[in-house]
Amino acid sequence: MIEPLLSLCLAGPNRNFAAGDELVCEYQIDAVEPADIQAVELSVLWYTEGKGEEDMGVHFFERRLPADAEDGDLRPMRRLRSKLPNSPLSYRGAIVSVFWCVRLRLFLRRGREFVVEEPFTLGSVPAVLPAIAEPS
Amino acid sequence: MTSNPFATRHIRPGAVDYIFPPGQSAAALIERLRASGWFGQIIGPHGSGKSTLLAALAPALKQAGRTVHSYHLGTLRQFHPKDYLDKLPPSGRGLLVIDGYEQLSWWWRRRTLATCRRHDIGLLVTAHQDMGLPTLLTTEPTLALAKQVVRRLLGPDEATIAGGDVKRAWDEAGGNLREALFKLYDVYQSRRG
Repeated sequence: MIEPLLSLCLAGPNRNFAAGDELVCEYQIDAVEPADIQAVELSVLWYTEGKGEEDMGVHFFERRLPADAEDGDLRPMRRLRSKLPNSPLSYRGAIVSVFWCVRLRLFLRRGREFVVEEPFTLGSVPAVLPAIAEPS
Repeated sequence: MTSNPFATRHIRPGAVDYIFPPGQSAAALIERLRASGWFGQIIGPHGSGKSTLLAALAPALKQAGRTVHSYHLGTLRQFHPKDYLDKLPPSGRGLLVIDGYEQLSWWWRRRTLATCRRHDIGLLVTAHQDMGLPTLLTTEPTLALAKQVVRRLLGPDEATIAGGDVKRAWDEAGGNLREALFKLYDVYQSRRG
């Protein structure tokens, strides 16, 4: 079976946003029959990454079912806008980092699922990185 | 900002594939568990991949028709065995999976085993030492395995971490694979900026 093609992009060349900026993204789905699609979810979210427990938060979420689309077809291009919040800002640290991304999830009938992500940064907090003694 | 391949989200059980020793596979271990009446143990030291192996066995257990109830006995969380003894999986096809079985007292281990036998439920556990159940596998990570895991995490073209880094982290962690991967997290983080 051919895997569905998920196209997700942020409008414009900018990948670095400030708090309060508007993020515009577009997505489109191809190489799959409309009847095979159960749902499509788009989220704008942040998550932490590090050596300990993980955390995440969803800033924007939209789930669409075939009944929500014209002719029941969720594949055509869709554009979404979301005003970005004041926090948490993207951060790269020694113990924990905070990442932002737009995530598109496609759910097919019979339980198959496909995900694509488009990362971006919010704010411009300087990185704080561990000092590791390199071997001589 | 690039993701650190040694972060928890990439190395936690279920996120990273378990690399079976030569001649072993999920199917073979499930078959051994079935042959022992669905009672078995996975033994190994801290950070040797026991929980990762459990996660790798989950799909095969489901395929074998077992209804699995899994419990992780983390040292930091309050936990009481009554939590699972009050909500047993179905008789005849249920399997109770307990990760960190040695953390239960002798009395609760005995009661758990007796309850499983009485209700015709299987019991699969992980522990640091022999708990008296049939041993499915003893996890024994090696430096060669650590290098293999690191290569998988990094991908074929990533050169930030070299073989010498893995050996140094492995030695410093005293053969604890999980700790070695966390040491490499710091190395990766400092080099990638």
